[in-house]
Formats: sequence, C-alpha cells, structure tokens
Amino acid sequence: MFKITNLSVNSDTTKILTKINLTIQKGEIHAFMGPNGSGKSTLTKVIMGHPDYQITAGTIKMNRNDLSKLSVTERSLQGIFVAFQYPVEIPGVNFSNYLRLVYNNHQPKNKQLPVFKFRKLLKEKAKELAVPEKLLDRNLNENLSGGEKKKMEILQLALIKPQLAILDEADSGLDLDALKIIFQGIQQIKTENPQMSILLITHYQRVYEFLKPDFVHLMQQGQITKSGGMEIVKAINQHGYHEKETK
Amino acid sequence: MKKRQNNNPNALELLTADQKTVSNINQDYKTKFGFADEFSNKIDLGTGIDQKIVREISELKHEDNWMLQKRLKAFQHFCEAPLPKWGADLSHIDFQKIHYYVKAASDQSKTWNEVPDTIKNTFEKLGIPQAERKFLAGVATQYESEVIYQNLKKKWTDQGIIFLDTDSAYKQYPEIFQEYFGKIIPETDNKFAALNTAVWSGGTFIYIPKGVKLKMPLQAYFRINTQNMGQFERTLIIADEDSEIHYIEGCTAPMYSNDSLHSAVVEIVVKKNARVRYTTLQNWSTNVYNLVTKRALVHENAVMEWVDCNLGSKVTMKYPAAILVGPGAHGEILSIALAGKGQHLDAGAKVIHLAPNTSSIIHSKSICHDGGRSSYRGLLKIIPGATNSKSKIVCDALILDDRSRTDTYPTNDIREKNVETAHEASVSKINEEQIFYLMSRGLTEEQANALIVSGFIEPIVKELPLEYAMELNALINLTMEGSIG
Amino acid sequence: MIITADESILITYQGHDQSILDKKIEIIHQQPHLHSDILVKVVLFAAAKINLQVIVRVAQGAKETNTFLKIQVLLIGKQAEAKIIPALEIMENSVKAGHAAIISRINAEQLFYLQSRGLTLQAAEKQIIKGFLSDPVK
Repeated sequence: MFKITNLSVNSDTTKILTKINLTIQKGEIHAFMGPNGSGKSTLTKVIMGHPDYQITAGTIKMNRNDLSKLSVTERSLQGIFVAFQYPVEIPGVNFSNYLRLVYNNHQPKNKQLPVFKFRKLLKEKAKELAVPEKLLDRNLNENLSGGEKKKMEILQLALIKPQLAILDEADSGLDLDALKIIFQGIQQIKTENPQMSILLITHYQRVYEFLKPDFVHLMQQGQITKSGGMEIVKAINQHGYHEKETK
Repeated sequence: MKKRQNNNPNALELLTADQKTVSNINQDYKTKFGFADEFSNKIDLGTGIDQKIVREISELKHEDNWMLQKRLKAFQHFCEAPLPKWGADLSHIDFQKIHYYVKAASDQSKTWNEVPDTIKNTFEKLGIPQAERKFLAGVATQYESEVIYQNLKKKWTDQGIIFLDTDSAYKQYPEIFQEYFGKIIPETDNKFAALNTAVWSGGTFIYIPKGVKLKMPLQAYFRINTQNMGQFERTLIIADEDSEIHYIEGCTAPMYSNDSLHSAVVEIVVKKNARVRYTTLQNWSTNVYNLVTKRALVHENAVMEWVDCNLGSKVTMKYPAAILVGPGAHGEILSIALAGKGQHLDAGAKVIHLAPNTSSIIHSKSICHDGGRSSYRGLLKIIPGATNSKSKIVCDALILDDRSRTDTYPTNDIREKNVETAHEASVSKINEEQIFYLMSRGLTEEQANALIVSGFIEPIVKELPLEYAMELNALINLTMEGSIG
Repeated sequence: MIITADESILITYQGHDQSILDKKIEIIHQQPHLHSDILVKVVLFAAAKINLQVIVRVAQGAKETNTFLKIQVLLIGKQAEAKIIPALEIMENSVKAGHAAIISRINAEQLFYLQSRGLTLQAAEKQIIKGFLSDPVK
C-alpha cells in the first residue's frame, strides 16, 4: 500500500536521508526507533512534502501513486496523516471552524456537514477521546499545553481516518496519565479502523503496551540500519543505540 | 455590502447557478454583487459639477438659504483646494464624469409595501432576507442618493429617538441641523469634505435622547447603482448625555468599468457620559474611489468607538477621528484593511487629546496581497494641558507576496509631558510552517491563507456582531480564493 | 543611510531651552539578509522641540530583512514638544519589520525611590536621564 524505495533527501546541500526502503501494508503497525537527530522526524516531513527538503533519489508511493509529484494538500487527501511532534500555533483561528473545514475537505460533496451537524459529531468524537469540550472553542493550538496539543492532533486523526497515520513522538513530553489517555484514544481509532496503517516514531517502548508493532526499524544517521520485530526493541533496551551500532 | 449571504436560500441558489457557467471568482462576484438594475432614474442632473448644479440640488430639495450658502461656500473651497499630495494617487478622478445627484424614487416610502418592486428585487439579489426586516429593529436602506425605505420600531419613536434620512431630518428638525451640521467637520476641512458639503444628498440622521440606551444595533445599507455615480451621503449622529448607540453601515457596489467616487461625511457628537460605536463594513467594487471624512466630538467621560473594515474600493482614504474635548473622554479606533490587486487602501486613525485624563486606543490590522498596497496613516496629538492622557497604538501588517506593499506612517505629536503614549507596529509575512501544517490536514493553499488571514484579524472581527463577522470571513474567503499562489 | 551590513544604530539627542530640531532620517535596506536595530533616544528639556521622522524602507529584493526601529522620548520640560513619525515602507514580503515609539515623562516611582534615598529632585532626575541615555536596552 505504502512504499518508499531507495529514498535520499537533501536539505539545501546537506544530505540528511540515505537510501531509505520501507514497505507498509494495510493495517500494519511499524515502529521507528533511533537516537535524536537520526532523521526520524525528517522522514515524516518528507513523506508529507515539507518544502524544506528535496528528494534527490528514490520514490515514495501510496497505492502506486508517486507522492513526490503531489502537493501537501493532495497527500493529505490521498490518506496520509502526520500527528506532529510540535504542532504549530495559529492565532485567532477557531478550532471548531478549522476542524469542520478539515473534515469536509476529506468528505465527498454529499457527505459534507453543516455547522450544527458537525458540532454534534465533533462533540461525540471529543468525548470518546477524552478531549475536554472547552478545547474545541479555543484557537488552533494557541497557548495549549503540550498534552492538549497532542490530544487535538489525535482528535484530528479520528476525524480524518487516514490510510496511513504517522505519529511523530506522540508520547514525548507527556506524563503517564496523559500518555495513557492519548494512546488509548489511538488504540480505539485503530480498533474502529483496522485497515489503517500506523507508523510510530518514538524513543520509548512504553508506547508498545498500547500499540504493538508488527515491524520495528532502527534509524541511525539518516539510514535504516536494522529492520525486524520486537527483538530489536529488546536489544536496544539492553544495550542502547550505541551498543547496537558496534555489534 | 450585502447582508447575510450564507443564510439566504435565494442568494445561495443564485450563486450555485452562476457557478455552473462562471469559473472565475471575480466574475461570480460580479454576478452576485455587481449587477445594475434596469429602471430609469427619475431625476438625473447629468454629469459634471459647477455652481449651477449645486444650486439646482439645493433647489430640488427646497432648502433654506443658509444651506444653499453653505453648499456654495463648500463648492468654492472644493474648487480652490488642491488634491492631497500625500496618500493615494487621486489624479485619475475625472470630476466632470461623475453624477452628483440622482434620485431613484420620487417620494420617501413609509412602509415596505410601498417600496417599488425593482428595488425589492435588488435587495432580493443582495440576499437581504424577508424575515430579517422584522428581526432588525430598524433599517434605513439608501438606494441611489436617497433613502427609499425607512422603518423604525414604534417603541423607539416613543423613546424620542429620531432615525431618519438626512434630507428629511433637515426639514423636520431645522434647529438641530443649524446647531450641528458642518460644525464637527467644517466645509473647509478638506477638499472632499468640501465636495460632500456642496452636493450632499441622503445619509442617516440619528438623535438619541438623554439616558436612552439602545442595545440592538441600528443598521443601514448603501449601494451605488448608476454608472459613474457619485455617492455623497451625509451622516449626523447626536448622542445626548448618558445615552448609548451602536450604528452599523455596510455596502456593496456594482462593477463598472469607469471610475466612481464615494465621498461621505460622518459627523458624530458624543455628549457627557454617552457611548457611540460606529461600525463600517466597506466593500465597494474595485473601481470606486472611497474618500470619506469621519469625525466624532467626544465630551466628558464619553466613549467613541470606530470599527472600520475596508475590503473593497480601488482607493480608500479614510481616517476616522476622535476629538477628545471633555475630561475623561475615551476614543477607540479598530480597523481592518485588505488590499488586493489594483487596490490602494490608505486607512488609519486620528485622535486628538484636548482635555486631561483622556485616553485612546488605536488597533490597526492590514493585509496586502496580489499586488495590493495597504497603508496605515495615523495622527496622535496631545496638546499642552491634556495632562494624564494615555494612548496606545498597535499596527500589524501581513504581507502575502513580494508584489504587494505595506506602509506605516504614524505621527505622534506630543506637547504635554504628563502623558503616556506607546506605539508599536509590525510587518510580517505569512508563516510557512503554518501553511504546511494546514495543508498537511488537507486544506488547499488558498484555504490555508484565508484561514491565517481570518485569524490575524480575529481580535477586531470579534468586536463585530456575529452575522457581520460571518459575512466578513465569507467575503475574505471569496476575495482570497484564486488570488494567491 | 543605506544598510550594507548587520548593524545596530544608536541615535541620541538632547534638546535644551528653546532649541528646535527638525530632522528626517532614512534607513534603507536594499540588500538581502541584513539585520538592523535602530534605537533613537531623545530627551527634551525646558521648551525644546523636536520634529523627527525616521523612515525605514525595505526595497524590493531585500529579502529576509530583519529590522526594528525604536524611538524613545523623555519629556522633561513643561513646554517640551515632540512630533515623532516612525514610518515603515515595506515592498518585500519575506521580511520582519517592526517599530515602537514611546513618549513618556520621568517615571514617578523611580523619582520617589531615589529621593527616598536622600537624592534631591534634580539629582534624581539627572540620574534617571543618565540611565535613559546610557542603557540601550532600557
């Protein structure tokens, strides 16, 4: 369904990703681990089409469509979603209005919802994911805490129901209670949409209690150095990233 | 400005039907707002201006000699005064090609039933819902140069409120007129105030008696409907002591190929402890020169608030002013300007502190895109003796592409040492990380830009009544669509 | 003046007695990627007057310009008058530009504090003015 082949990426003239290969089938959960600066977050931005990065070689394909030819908007409409590690704040833009625009852009014309019907749906979804209703009337991420921002990212995930959800450090900066709420939410979305694939980017394995990866990839210095199953997690847990490298 | 397009089924139908054949948004805009109704104007003095035209206007209106003399004096000043050398380029206005007086219907209509069908059809197209009339407490709709429809709730009349078109008010309340007309903005104030005084017609007159507080806004709609027609309405609002009023004006104009001129004068007196808010939504078609003089005299402990939103016109020059004459008076000017292709919006604010303990706030938000130019021009003046005065000015500009331009020209003229003033301005481009974020959620670049722009002006939009806020955002979406990228 | 390198510019002026200063300063950015910080500090005594216009102009092509203009005026004299126009003309979109103008009198709390420590009013004023003119970040 989703396939990256021999992908190399530059930022200006610096090479930051080298020969990435990755295949994700429908419904699979993949995890990316690796030290800070190894290129995990960069890869998510490249998949989404961030203008700071240039693809120098290789392809990213979704259902056989070449994503690199598509705008950021089109990639979203093709079914890719990134829950960002640091969602930007947009002052003055009301969350509910924004979410309705997002939701309707992803629906065919005859399924688009007017204000009140959407509000009802939004309230239901918020309740399911334990998102406090008052957040819906705030401005887009403006002055939200780290945990609140992550909750709103997951709410957007639930509304869009993408084919591939990329969760970029969805666990960072959260205390254990907040982590539990957010990942139970993701778990719930996954249960309702078993066909949805997930790409998890994380430092910590505590997340795997909620979402058990089918495949684990280790990323170091812009390359995937190891791919496999949960045994990679165990090895990292015992020896750290550097041990792994020297072995 | 058209009312509530999104709530009116007819307006929506019209829009979708047209969209089938018209892909260009500007053409759609033209169909929606820019039609010219086909009915003959009853009296049309032709184009051009001279002393004879000024006399004829006065004669047609059966005015007293003092008004005629005022008009003639104003006309003389208009002829003598040069065009302003600063601000926007006005050299293309051909004053001889403008209609200075056009009358749509022969008489004032007292009830809706008496309003001619052609005019009703126009409102239908503009999407002013039938039910809205009942909802609105009172609507004065200016069509052409005259107010053709007036409806004022009975209880307000009982409270002693006068809400009339300016021509009728002049006839019915000559003593109020003698006292206030042209006193806040004298005919020699500037070239365009002089022109307005010479040929003024229509406009709104409001008097709120002592202690009367109106919670619901009064509204009026204005349109230009004759090619090359000048619109010279004259508005006079007097808020007596301890009274409160919110007045809203909004306009849309047809699209024409030749330049038109809109030159209004708005005079407001806010007496002791009174409070006036004057909200404008300006959306003239982009061939109109919009040159407006607005000024309020604010007495002891009174409050004047101007909320001024400018989206349309080819050129706007408008600097709503608050003259703080009484101790403790407060003036506030909130403004939005959105300048697109071929537009130069030179808007701003003026506050003059003439008494102690006065305060003022100016907050301006301007956006330029698609080659447009937005300028903030402001004056803050504090005279000696206006001790303990305070003023805060904030101007924010958003510039969307490198073909556009934004300027800030604030003058701070301070002649009293016991004051506090602060002025801040910032210019920024649209944040690319924000665009990326919104697009990654499936919004188009145009939608993303429009959303960021609406967020940028939100602090001022939230001061508008809900339906106007919605309308303004809808208009911004319409304006921004297809113009960026 | 035309900005040709990253610069921070401090302009100070003290007006005494009946002095009148009528001045227009133009700061122009033509080259890309330059940073300018312009700080103008004015103190007006007695009946001194100033009419100061500072225009920061960012010409087309001066991409990624970052400029900030700050004008601070301290009015000491009873008849002192300040007319300040900090203007911006921006013809390029990828810029950060801002200005601020503050016209104020001597802070009464500061005066009180210094006097409470035994300084005369004149000495306290002098200290505050000295501080105002010497501290660029104040």
